[in-house]
This record gives sequence, C-alpha cells and structure tokens, in this order.
Amino acid sequence: MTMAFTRLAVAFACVLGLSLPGAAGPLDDYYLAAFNEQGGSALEKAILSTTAETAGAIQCGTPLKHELSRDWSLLEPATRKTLAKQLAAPALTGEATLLSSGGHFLIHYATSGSDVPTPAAGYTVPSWVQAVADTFESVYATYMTADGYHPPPGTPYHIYLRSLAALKIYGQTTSTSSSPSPGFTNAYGSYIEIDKDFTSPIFHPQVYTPLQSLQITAAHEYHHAIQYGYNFFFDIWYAEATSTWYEDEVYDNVNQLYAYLDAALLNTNLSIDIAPSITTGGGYGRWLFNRHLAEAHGGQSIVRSFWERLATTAPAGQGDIPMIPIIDTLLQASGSSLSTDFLGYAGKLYTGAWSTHQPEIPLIPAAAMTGTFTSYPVAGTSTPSPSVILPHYSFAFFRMVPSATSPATLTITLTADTGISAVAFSKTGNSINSFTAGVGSSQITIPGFGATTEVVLLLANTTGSDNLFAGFSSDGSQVTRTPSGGGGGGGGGCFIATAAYGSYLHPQVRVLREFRDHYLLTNAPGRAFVEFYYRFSPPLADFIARHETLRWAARLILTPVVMAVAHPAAMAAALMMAAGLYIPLRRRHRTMVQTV
Amino acid sequence: MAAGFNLILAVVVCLFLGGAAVAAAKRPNGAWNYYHFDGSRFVAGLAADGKRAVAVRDGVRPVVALPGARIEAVALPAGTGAVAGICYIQSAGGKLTGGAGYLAAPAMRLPISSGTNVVTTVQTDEQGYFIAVLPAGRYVVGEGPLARNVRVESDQTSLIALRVGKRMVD
Repeated sequence: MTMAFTRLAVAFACVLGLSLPGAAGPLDDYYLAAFNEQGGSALEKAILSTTAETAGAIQCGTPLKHELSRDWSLLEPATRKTLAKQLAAPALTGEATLLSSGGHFLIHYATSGSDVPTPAAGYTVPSWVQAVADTFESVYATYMTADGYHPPPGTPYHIYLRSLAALKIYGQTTSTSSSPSPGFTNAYGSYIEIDKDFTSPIFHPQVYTPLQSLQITAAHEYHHAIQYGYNFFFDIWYAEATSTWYEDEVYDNVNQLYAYLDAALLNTNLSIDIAPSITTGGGYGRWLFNRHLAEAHGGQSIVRSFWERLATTAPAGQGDIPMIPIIDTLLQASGSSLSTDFLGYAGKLYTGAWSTHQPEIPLIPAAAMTGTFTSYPVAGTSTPSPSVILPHYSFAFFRMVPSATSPATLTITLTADTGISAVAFSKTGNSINSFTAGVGSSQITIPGFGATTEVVLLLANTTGSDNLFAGFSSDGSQVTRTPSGGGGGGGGGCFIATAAYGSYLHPQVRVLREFRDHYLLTNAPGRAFVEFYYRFSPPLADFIARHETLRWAARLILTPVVMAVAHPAAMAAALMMAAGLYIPLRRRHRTMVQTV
Repeated sequence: MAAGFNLILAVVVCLFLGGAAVAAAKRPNGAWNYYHFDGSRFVAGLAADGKRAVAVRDGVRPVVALPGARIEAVALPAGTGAVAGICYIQSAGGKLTGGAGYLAAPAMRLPISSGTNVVTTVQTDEQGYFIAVLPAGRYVVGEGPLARNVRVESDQTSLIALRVGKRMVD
C-alpha cells in the first residue's frame, strides 16, 4: 500500500514537473514569435516555425506591445531580456513591417497617422520601404563583409520610419538592453529611427535626393548601432566623427558631410574631442581626421581597430571611455602617435595634400586664419597679437603676406610651451614648401619671403595638456604670455563671448578682443580686470557653451557691451536719452509723493 | 536732530533685516530640502524650468513633486532609509539642431539587489522618477553594466541619477 502510494506520488511529481515548463512556455513563445525573436537552433526554428515571415507581411505592432507590457511579469527572465527593447521601441499607428531581403533588418512603418511615409515622386509606400530595406542591406554588406565589423546584437535589427522632420532629425539610434557576448562585455542592443521619407525641405531635397539622404542616414546610424554593439560606453565625439566619416566611405557621391567642416575649420582652436555641435564643429566636423588616419595608415582598418580595442576596454565607473588614449595607443603600435598624426592632419588642412577622394578636395573649406600680417616686423605689440593659447589637441594658423616692409628672409622666432609644434608653409603659386625649426632651435627660416604668395605658420598643441602658450615674432624678439595668461588679440581669451557666439572669430568676439588688447591690457587696472576675468570665466563659459538658452542670454547681455565698445558715441547718446527720460519721471514721482 | 534719528532708524532696520536673514538661513529640522536633476546629476534647489524635484527630509519618505506642491510627510519605518532617483537616457548630437540633453525613462522596471538577491523591483513614474524604502544597507540599483551601487542609511535618503541608455541624435 505504502509502496503504491509512493509510486503514485513520484508519478504525479514527474507529470507536474514536466508540465510546468510547458505551462510557462506558450506565453513566452507567443511573444517571441510575435516579435520575430524566436531563439534556438536553426533546426528548432524550422520545426517550431509555422508561419515564416515574408517580405511585405503586415503585423499590427502597437496592441501587441500593450499586451506585452500587461503580461511582462508572467514571462521568463530570459524572455524579458530579449523583449525589453520592444517595450522601449516606438509605437507606430497601424504598424506594418518588411523584412529585408538578407533578413538582417525589419523595417517598421505606419499605415495611418502622421508617420505614414509620403515618398517622393517615383516611389509608392511599398517601393520606398523596400528601398529602405535594400539600403540598409547594402550598408550591412559594406560594414560586415567589406570592412570586417562585428554586427550589432539582434537579428533582425529594427528600423522605424517616423516623421522626424519637425524635430529636425535625420535619424537617431537608441540603446536598448545589455547584450554581452564573448569579447563584447559591454555590448548593448539598439534600434534606429529615421525620417519616414526625407522629403521635407529641411533635408534639402533639391540638393540631396531623398534616396541620398536615406543612404547617408543609414550609413551613419547603422555605425552607431555597431558602436553600441562594441561597447555602450563609447566616446560620443568619436562616435559622431566615425559615423559621419563612414557616410562618404559607403556613399562617396553624396558629399553632404563636407557641410560640417565649416564650423570645425572655423574653430580649430577648440580641442578635437569637444562635444558634438554644429556650432563649434565638434563631433561631426571631426570626421576629416579619420580620413587622414585612413590615408596615413593603410585604409579604414585603423579606425576599426580603435573600435575593436574599445570593445575590450572597461569603463571607470559608469562614465564613457575617452577615445583619445585608445587612438594614441594604437597609433603608437603602428609606429606613429596621435601627436604626429594630429600635426599631419592639421598641415593637410592647409596644403590640401589628401591622397584619397581627390575630386572632393575643393569641397574642404580653408581653415580660418587666427591672424594675418602685412606689415613688419611682427612682434608682441602687433595687431592682431602673434600668439595663441591652445587647449589639448588643437591648432591655429597665422598668415604672413609679403609687403613693402617685409624682410627678404623671414625668420620666425618661436616662444612656446613644451608640447607646441610649429610648421611654416611657404606658398608660391601652387607650390607649397614646409619648414620647421632645427633641432634645439626656436627659429624657422623661410628664404625668399618677398617672392612668395604667403607664408602660413601652423601652431599646434599636440598633447593632452590644456592652455599651452605659443607666440612668435619676425624680429627675433620674444612674444611672451600676457599677465592674464591670455594670448593677446589673435589667441584665446574672451571665453564667455566665445561660448555665447560660438566662435572666437565671430565679429562680436573680435570687437571685444580688440577692446581688451587696446584699452584693458594697456593699463594696470585693465590688466587686473583681465586677469580676474580669465581666472574665473572658463568654467562659466564651459557651462554656458553647453546650454543654448544660456548662450542666448549671454548674447543678450553682451549686446550692449559690444555696442558700447563698437559705437561708444552712439551708446553714450542712448544712455543720455534714457537718463533724460528717467529724471523727469523721478521728479514727477517725488512731487506726487509729497502732495499725498 | 532729524538726520540723527533717521540714521539710527536706518541702522536699526538694517540690524533687524540682517537678523531675520540669519534666522531664515538656519533651516529647521522639519523643513524639506529640494534637489533637481540637471541632466547628469542631482543638484540642490528647485529647477529653474519648473520641472519636478525630489523633496527630502530626515526620517521622512522622499517625495517627487512639482514646485509649490503641498507635500505630506510620511515617516520612514524604523531602521529604514530611502533611495530616490531618476532613470534617464542620455541624448547627444544633432546634425540640424542641438540634440544634447536627456529623456526620462518612464514605466521602467528597476531591480534593487543586495548581494545576489533582488530585494525589490520598483517602477519609474511617467517622468522617470522612482522611490524605494529599504532597510539600511548596501544595494545595487539596476542591472547590467549601468547598475549603480548605493548605500542606504536609516532615516536618510540617497539620491541617484541612473543613466539607463544613450541616444545618438543626428
């Protein structure tokens, strides 16, 4: 009797044990299949799959996501991890999907509401969505097959077509959840949203066809997806520099990325790793540095090697991993260094000695000159000042044009902190020769100056140290750092104004700089004020630069200051008029008070 | 004579105002302290843009509230403290306009662990904020590489800004 009872209990336990996974499984399988995330081997998929997804299959995703949210707590942890990105992803009205021909991408698009694509002439909605799928497959082939990148987590990868023009966005890539794999400890999944059709005027469809905008956006955003897959903690400036550079590597004929160079080459005195900004040229405008590296180191693999090294680099805490040390380490391993390559890159911006994409060289704007000199000698009292303060990995150009007062041989005497590199370029017609100071010397000699078109001096901070000083003269005198630490008219300084106006070459900033040089630095109280200002303003300027509202407010506050400096008589007249209005009002007020 | 009286009156007024300012600067124990999220961390004071802030007070459960909202004090159980914070997605870039900033991570389930055990799971509100009342001790908030360590002390509130994602805007 006892034996029979025991057997019955064991049998019951076995049945219960076997049925539990079955009870837990169907809901998980339902959602995994619904979101096309069914795991398991190819054989399992073949056996379990009853309805293979085909191109053009339509699913309604939004209610499904609501159901998923409702049933979340009932799912297995592994299922939750896989489907976490579905809860974060955007919901489209009447969502339909198209699986790309290679099976690597699932394109989500709306069939009603504001996100419905309204493609350009020549396309229907299905043919445009197909073009999106084909474009991403083409980008995939370049990155994975041709360039050897590791694909991001998640197959198929999810692409959402949304109305982003009103937000002034081409596309955006957002991380989802941690998805580690061997060699990629900090890998994260992601999804991409791109504009639904790129027909809005903000994308300049008359200049770049919607297909071209789609192409560069796909190349750009999918590299971000790869970046998340290498290491979530990537450095944002280099992520944008790489994604932008790849736009032209994948689609060489579009050339929209050259538009980001204007701001970058206007602000060469800002560090290479400043935050992405179309105002300062940070991030996007730094793509050209990757072209230099690819040219100098045998192709795109040098850039890929940085990302591969990042994949195995652990973050310190929860912050992003600085890319500059990684780049320097790998360049040194290849027999160069970041210092050498940065100087080489800066020099190319003047010489134009690019070895690839040569038909596009005219699209690279000329780097801004910090100062131009036509009267000689150039010395510490010259205007603009022949000196500059440079933060880490930044540079400045100074132009010297021969004139009646110029010497036959131009001898540039440098006074610079350790870490400043200097190269002089002598241009005659289309020929450019470069000159550097001899070992142990601080002088660069350029013979035949009078016969040249111009001589351009490149001063570069090729180190990770900030605020290095560099000055020069043409008469052998020493141009030293001012008491304020500022570099005079041509150099840095006016930190808040620079942050407010976006460039130290902005005309308003130039007005303030000239006022400082001519009226403040020429007397003791003025120098004391400048010293005080330079000591305390950099952190404030940095804060202002990162907030558009504060930049606007700073410009508002600076406007009367600039007006007073630029047009003192007019400003004085305006103040007198204001006082003239105020005093009678005040008297009238007093009279009324006394009467009461 | 009148001038002397006016001078004395002015001095008295100044002394009174100064004394009142000093007295006001000494925050009584029962007052709330406010902290707002500035995009990367919590800083003291209310946000200038009128966004929500976390109101904190010793021995009392923290409250996420809009400026000016009436806050009710609920005592923390003996031996417990609180962890309050925000889950956010860092936003960077912007090809056509500035895209830097952050997005709140609403309705996000956030496990809080001690050792290998999940002590509780909280869900962020529509603005990404969360509050958990826990026995004093050390905890891990979140999971994976972005999880953060936090120490909870009795009657105290620990604030934490948890980056849970990153968005590259172009």
